[in-house]
Amino acid sequence: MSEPMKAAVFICRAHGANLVAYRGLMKHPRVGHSEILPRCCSTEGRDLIQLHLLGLTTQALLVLGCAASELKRYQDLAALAGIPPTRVAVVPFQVRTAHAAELALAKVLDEREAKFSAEARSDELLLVGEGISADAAYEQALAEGLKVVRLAPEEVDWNEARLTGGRGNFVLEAGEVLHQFGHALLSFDPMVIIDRTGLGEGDAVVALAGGEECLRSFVSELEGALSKGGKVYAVVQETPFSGVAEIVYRDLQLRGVVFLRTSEIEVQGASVTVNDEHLGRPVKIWTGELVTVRSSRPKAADEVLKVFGMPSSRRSIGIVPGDSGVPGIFLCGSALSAHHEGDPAGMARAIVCSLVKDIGSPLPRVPIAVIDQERCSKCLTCLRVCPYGAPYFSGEGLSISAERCQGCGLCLSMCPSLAIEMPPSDLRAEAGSVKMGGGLK
Amino acid sequence: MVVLGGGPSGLACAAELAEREVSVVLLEKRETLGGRVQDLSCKGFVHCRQCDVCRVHRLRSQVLSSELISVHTLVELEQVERNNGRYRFDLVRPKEAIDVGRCSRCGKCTEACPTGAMTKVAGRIRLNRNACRSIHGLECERCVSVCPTGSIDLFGEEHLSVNGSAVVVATGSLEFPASKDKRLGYGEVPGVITSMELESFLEGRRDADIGNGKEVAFILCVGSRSSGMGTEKCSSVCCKYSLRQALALKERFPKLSITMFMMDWRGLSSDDELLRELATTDVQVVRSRPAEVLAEGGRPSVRYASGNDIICQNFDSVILSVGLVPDLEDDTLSQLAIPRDPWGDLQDDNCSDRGIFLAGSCRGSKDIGHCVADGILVAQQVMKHLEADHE
Repeated sequence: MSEPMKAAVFICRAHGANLVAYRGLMKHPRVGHSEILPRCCSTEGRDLIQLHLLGLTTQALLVLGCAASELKRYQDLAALAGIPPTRVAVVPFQVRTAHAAELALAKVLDEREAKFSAEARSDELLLVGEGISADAAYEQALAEGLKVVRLAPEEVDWNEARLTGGRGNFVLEAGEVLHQFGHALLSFDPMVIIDRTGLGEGDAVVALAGGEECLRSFVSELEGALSKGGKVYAVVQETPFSGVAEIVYRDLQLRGVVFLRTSEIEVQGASVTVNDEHLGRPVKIWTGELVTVRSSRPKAADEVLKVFGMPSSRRSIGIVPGDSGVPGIFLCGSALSAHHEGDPAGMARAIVCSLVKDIGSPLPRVPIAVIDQERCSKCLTCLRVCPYGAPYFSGEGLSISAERCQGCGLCLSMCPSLAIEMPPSDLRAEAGSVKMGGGLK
Repeated sequence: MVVLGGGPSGLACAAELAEREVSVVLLEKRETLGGRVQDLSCKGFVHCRQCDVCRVHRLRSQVLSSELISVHTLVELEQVERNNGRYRFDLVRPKEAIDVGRCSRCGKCTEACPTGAMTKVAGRIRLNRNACRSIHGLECERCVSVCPTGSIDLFGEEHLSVNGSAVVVATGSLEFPASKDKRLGYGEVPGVITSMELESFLEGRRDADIGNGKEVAFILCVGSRSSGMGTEKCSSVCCKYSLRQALALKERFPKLSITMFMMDWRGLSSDDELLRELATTDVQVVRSRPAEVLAEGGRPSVRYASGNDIICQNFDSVILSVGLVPDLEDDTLSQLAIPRDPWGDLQDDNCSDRGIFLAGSCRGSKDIGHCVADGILVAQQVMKHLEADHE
């Protein structure tokens, strides 16, 4: 290669970006052309940029000070000049430092060979789960025109299954079947179980040993008991009637259902004894039928989460609905949400809508963070600190999974041996920046 | 496409429509976007408690940086008209108080302003409308009289019109006015604050008698589950947010003694994270609905029944967890003739045939995450409507 690659840098004045921080970059030796435009994101601005790119004097495009949402448009523009999308970057106006601009420049001029495919090999969505949320999610995915494959938890032996790859390139080995997909949606709802015990001739007792997920069944059992005539007792720890269901609660009480509050009941022969917290004394009920409504977390949920690399207590993080924190994997259903989900079908559909955007978006340029094996002391700090689970221990040392790395920089800042770097070191030396890191001393 | 309301549902709906290449006009009556969530603080300090407040800020950035969404704030609706399936909204909003062309930046107004509403920021004069006495109806206008160039007009208004083939109503709900429940002493007994005021305290914007060594009580179901107050429904969000507030306070002030008076934990599943965290703290939970909050020696005292006894317990602060109530006086909604259910929440019947879609807590109280999900779903419905229209 006779001449190293150069980038074209355009600075947008329209969004109030910190121009002082970006000006230094204009004189960088690897910047072939730099220009300040009054508004890069307008049609005139884009025409100017395109005009320059078609001259083929630069091989990468960096736009500073625009909105992050413009990236796709600049990539399309660059594609017309034969510049691949990985060589286009936008540093949004909210980012005020020169350092970020330098990092973006280095990222865009990175000439290292990608060890892993930077292209998403599959745009299929794998839906694992069952229940209302899973059904609603499946319907919505079909309505959105996604390629969705539904996998029921019983079809796979999860103890023997293995997941490899990252967003856009997942491979699930389950026995002899290989599933290849780009994104996964795991959806589980708690199961509601109704136990009936006939004790004798007496009043009806409906006990709730679960939370709000049992509401519908609980109310239907109470209605059933009321329709048979006779006295009905409802025994709960918390009444599960949030929102408009409170009206149902009042109505049931007005129709004669007696609500007792306790966390334990005693069954002796044909009677049920309840030690109500408020009454302060035990209530003995001669019971005809004792119905217990309870819920249980589907066991498959924990096994599936484990295979997908998440702790069993994982709930969706919430910034984007359904986001699990692991790129490409989404969580759905009230067994996997932080609190009780009042409208599981609605939430499932909303999650699928957000997922659609993720399927369309390009993969991060890999490798982003690289571990220098000579400096690495194998302290495993990066492994512990990474929110995406990117570092992994392979035979000859620690490496960072290209699919999972999102370039957040946490490992780099915390590595005590300063062994992790993000842009190639030669460029950073040229940019004159100090090697960052050394968080834990 | 017009979205009424810049709260979590309105923002989510607008963002989703913009992703699908539909141009949106977002109208908001306050000066900034975010709805009532703007007044809330983050309640997860060391680890996230998923209060969803930061999510709304992120949505706001997304909306503001989108080319397809035009935002108009501080607007008041004058008239709505429907012609051939298109809605036209005539709005009025206050004009820019300082005429930048005439202003000489001498700064005399900033010296004359008694409340500090006029400030010089980055070389320009800026008016903070919330702090201005004249705008709030009190006598002042000193800045106008001292201005040598006559560039200040505090009461100027400008009119604008926006059009749309569909309207999304995301006007949200209000907090229950705590003074309405006289027994709880808000405004009378010192040390009684609402949960919204607690949020300001968490943000550092106001003082409260809360700290290490103090005793604090939370009273839940204020303005919910009460036919006496005309609020029979359960607001469904207060249990969750009060738990987060209590846990955040406990994290910040480990020696703060907290007692929560509640009836039921709603909206939580039996193995909920917040409840599990609560069990690891020494927060006292008393299952009782207090009858009164009285003043005793300058401090609030909570009178409640427990078993067969009636107890009066003193605290340094009492926090009333207020519920959500519908905005019954909103003019826009009556102009659009949207029907309400017996409890005041907006109802969907036949609105979508007219091109009106409802999203968020105006439809029934919801927490922030569900408002966002609702906004996303309504965007879907709007897309179908717009496509059907074109056929």
